[in-house]
Amino acid sequence: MNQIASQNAPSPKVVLPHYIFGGLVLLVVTMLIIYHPDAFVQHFFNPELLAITHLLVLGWITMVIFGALYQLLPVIMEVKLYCEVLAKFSFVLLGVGTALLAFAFWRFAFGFLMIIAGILITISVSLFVANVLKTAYTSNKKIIERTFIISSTLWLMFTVLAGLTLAINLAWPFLKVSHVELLKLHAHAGIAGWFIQLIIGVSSKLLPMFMVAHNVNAKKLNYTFYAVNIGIATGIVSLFIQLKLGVVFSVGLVVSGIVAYLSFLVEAYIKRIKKQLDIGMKQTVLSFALLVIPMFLIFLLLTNFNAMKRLSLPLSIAYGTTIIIGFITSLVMGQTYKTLPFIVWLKVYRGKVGRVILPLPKDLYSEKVALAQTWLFAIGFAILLLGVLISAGKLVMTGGIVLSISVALYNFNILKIVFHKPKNK
Amino acid sequence: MKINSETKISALIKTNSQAIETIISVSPSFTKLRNPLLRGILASRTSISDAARIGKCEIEELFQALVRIGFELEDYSTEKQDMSEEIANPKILKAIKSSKINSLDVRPTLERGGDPFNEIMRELMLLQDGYGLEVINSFEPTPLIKIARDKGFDSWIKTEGDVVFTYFLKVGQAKKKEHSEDQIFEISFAKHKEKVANCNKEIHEIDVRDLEMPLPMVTILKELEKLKENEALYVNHKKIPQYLLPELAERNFTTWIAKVDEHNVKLLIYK
Repeated sequence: MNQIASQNAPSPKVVLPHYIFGGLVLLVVTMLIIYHPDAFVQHFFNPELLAITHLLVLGWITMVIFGALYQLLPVIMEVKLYCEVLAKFSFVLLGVGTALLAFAFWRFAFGFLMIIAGILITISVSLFVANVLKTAYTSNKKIIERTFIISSTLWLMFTVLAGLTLAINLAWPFLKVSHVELLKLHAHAGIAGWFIQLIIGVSSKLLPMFMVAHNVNAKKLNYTFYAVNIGIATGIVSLFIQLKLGVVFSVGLVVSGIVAYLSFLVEAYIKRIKKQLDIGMKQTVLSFALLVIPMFLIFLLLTNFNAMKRLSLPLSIAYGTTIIIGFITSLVMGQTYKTLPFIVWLKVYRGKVGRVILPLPKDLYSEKVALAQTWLFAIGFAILLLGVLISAGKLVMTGGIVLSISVALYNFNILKIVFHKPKNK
Repeated sequence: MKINSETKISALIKTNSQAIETIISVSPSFTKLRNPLLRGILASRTSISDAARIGKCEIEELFQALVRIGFELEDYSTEKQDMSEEIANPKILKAIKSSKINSLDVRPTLERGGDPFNEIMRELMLLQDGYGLEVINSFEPTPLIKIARDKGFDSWIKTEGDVVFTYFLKVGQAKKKEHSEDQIFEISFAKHKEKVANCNKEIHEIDVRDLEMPLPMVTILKELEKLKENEALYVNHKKIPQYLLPELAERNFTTWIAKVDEHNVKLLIYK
């Protein structure tokens, strides 16, 4: 007989600031796209695009993931979060570090400012990783979701350290390999190692739960785990020693792992009991549809036909854009509607559930606004992508404007949820 | 029967139904007790000392009258708890001044013979920070004041003729539960079956596996609200419900959890 601790969920004070900060950063990014659309129509190594990318991946996506994970770890691993104070420190450091880093990139100022920003982010991530590992090791649940989360955080650590190394290398060059090749290494450790694996780990638990799907075969995910991790490791070594064949092999391996994961999701989708998808899940489906695009683009980029040479730069940017803005951003936006309302609902109505008639989590946001946001996002992203592909700054700007309206609506809903006041029907 | 200032009126009436008329003879404001519905509501929550204050009579008089019809007086001590607030908490006055007050008139409910207790408690629970609740009633709701105080509410009573206004404002935290340890345990499925067989309670079974969150939690807590003392709730769940556990602990339920496999968890919940 084991006594179970009843109170595992962290204080909402730890979780909520991550969502608010992330939403605002995303809004800033859409403004920057409008202000400087040319960032998307030149070589990807340009100051504005680097600033925008780091705001997106650190200030928006990683920020929201941190917050959401503090809430989800106790659910997935059935233990309490190791330390809430670490989480608060990590939040502040990540926020400040990202702002400084983006500023340094925008100014193209390689030197102390950028390195200090890098160090702040590295400390923030170290605190986060320590918190996750400590939490994971107090849990005795040996499940695949846990494995994915642990390995993704280790890749995040690697990515950030690689980034810091690159920042130093930019100021005082000491690495022999071309900086652009090293950038690919850094980017893919982040995308495939951190984001994709984390998304797999969390979504393989949450999505079947949200769709109410029983007995989905999770064995496929074991294959995904090995394919993705061996794939990234091979890819990174191959990029470093410039072995083209190794890169192709690694990409094939990672993509096959993602395909196995997608087939897991499709199975859950087919077996779902809840047939009608709500707005959060609709946007989630949209994001997975968008994921298919970069999975083709990467092979196109690797083949490097002569006829394609002229296209390879816009395609590279399109590749990054579909992953970060297309797939991950829309996924995070969609899943916000599945996680945030519940967190706030629980905070506001604790102790009252079941006793009186209460609103449900879905009543905390405006569904119409969410629907408009989803459509505007899809349209804005399509325009942006087209602008990137044909290198048309005006189109990129138009896409940016539509996206910024979508994101403003998203922020409206986030604030509406967070500041929800108790009421009964 | 031995009585003291804390003896409930309902206990008196149960022992000797003459008690009703006796109490009324002391103070006519107790004619309400003749109404069986009101009696059911009030008598079980009101002690003799409460009654003395509500009826504006001396407790001594009540005791004497009750002794006359055969009750025995226990070592009577005058240290009675004075729950009425002579001086109002300034925060309450401030809330009244700035009209941050929700008003609830429970007299219609009482006239219909209903019990306003749940109605009032619900309003209290839903009060926003800084807001007060005004309960309009025909008598001083002493039992309610005690319960609200345990939940961190201060109160103030104002009488205008026959109408009693009681103001509640949250000033502190709810009192900690009596026992500090949670009563939530994980056991093997075999043990769990034994528990179910031997719990000597009427078992209600529900299955929440096909519900989307947070409906499993809402459904379980709703069922538990209806659960009687001799009943237990048996839940078929998909997982150990992490967010339900604090609610169960707070409501002092004992919970036995068994994991059949990763997607099948059984819960046995009772008081």
